[in-house]
Amino acid sequence: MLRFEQQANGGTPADIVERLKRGDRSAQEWVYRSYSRMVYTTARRMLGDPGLAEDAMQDTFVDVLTKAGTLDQEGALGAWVRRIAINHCLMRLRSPWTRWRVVPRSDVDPVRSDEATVECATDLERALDRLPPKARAVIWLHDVEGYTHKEIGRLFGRTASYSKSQLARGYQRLRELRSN
Amino acid sequence: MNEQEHQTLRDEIRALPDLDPPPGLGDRVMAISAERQARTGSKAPLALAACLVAAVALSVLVVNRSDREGDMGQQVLAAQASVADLIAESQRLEERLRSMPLHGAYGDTGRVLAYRIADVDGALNAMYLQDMDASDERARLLHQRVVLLQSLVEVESQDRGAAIYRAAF
Repeated sequence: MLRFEQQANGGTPADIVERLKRGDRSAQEWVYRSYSRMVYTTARRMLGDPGLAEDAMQDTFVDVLTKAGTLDQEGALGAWVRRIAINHCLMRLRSPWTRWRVVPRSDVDPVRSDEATVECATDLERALDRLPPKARAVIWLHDVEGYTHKEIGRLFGRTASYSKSQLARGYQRLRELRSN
Repeated sequence: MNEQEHQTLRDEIRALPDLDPPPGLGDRVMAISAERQARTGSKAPLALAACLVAAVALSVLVVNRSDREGDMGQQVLAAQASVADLIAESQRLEERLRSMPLHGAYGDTGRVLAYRIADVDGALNAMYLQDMDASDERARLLHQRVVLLQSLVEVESQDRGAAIYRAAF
């Protein structure tokens, strides 16, 4: 990754951050190009709803580009972007008006019999979309982002037990959805 | 689900492909960021005016609401409301909002309140993320959240948003 960054910009991550702090347009574009897929994937997987994911992504990058001056650990740009993205997703999961929009997507078309050979990934993505929002977010935070149950419990204003039970229920539901 | 099944599913989730963001979003992000940076730099009077508008709207709503009697929210907002009370009242108000027809389809006043509540949620969330143990600040934010939610319920339930907006401006 570091080599890629250097090749793409003729500079180190620290250079990029420095340029970002000065409002350098090319650095901003580079940051967007480098992290947009990661941010959108995280938001889409956590929130399920594409529109909400787009909102979260937009807010994430606006924060990244306008608050780069607050980044003190210049080598940690990617982790910082990811943390902001997760924060924006959690804000949406915790807000009542956006929570209404992240209800499980029961209207998603089930996999039809003639699509029996559909890729495993698509099947899994559909099942994930139909999970309760918080269970989906807990699964993502724990199993992909590597957060501990204690950390997740705190993020949701609950305990580690809450995270564990959401994870167990989420996986149980996921298995049921995929076996149907 | 046994541990092996769990591990298999976990591996599958981790192997899911990355998703491409919507086209055009990058341009929008750049435009918004540039506008925000320019605005911050010039301290545009419009931003100040927007804050004043929101403050006046909220004041009218809160004063208006305070005339009513018998609302449980008033009791909760009385002095020394505990964090647990505030959380419970927040949840009660969220349930009430959720049960309303056309919930979320706010007018101008409702949107101002919604944005303010989102700000409060953001501040509360930041406290969790930073592992802050500031119970007074948390109680203050939760109190603010309850007041804003009550105002939003009022706007939604009595459909007075337009009238209040006209009266305020």
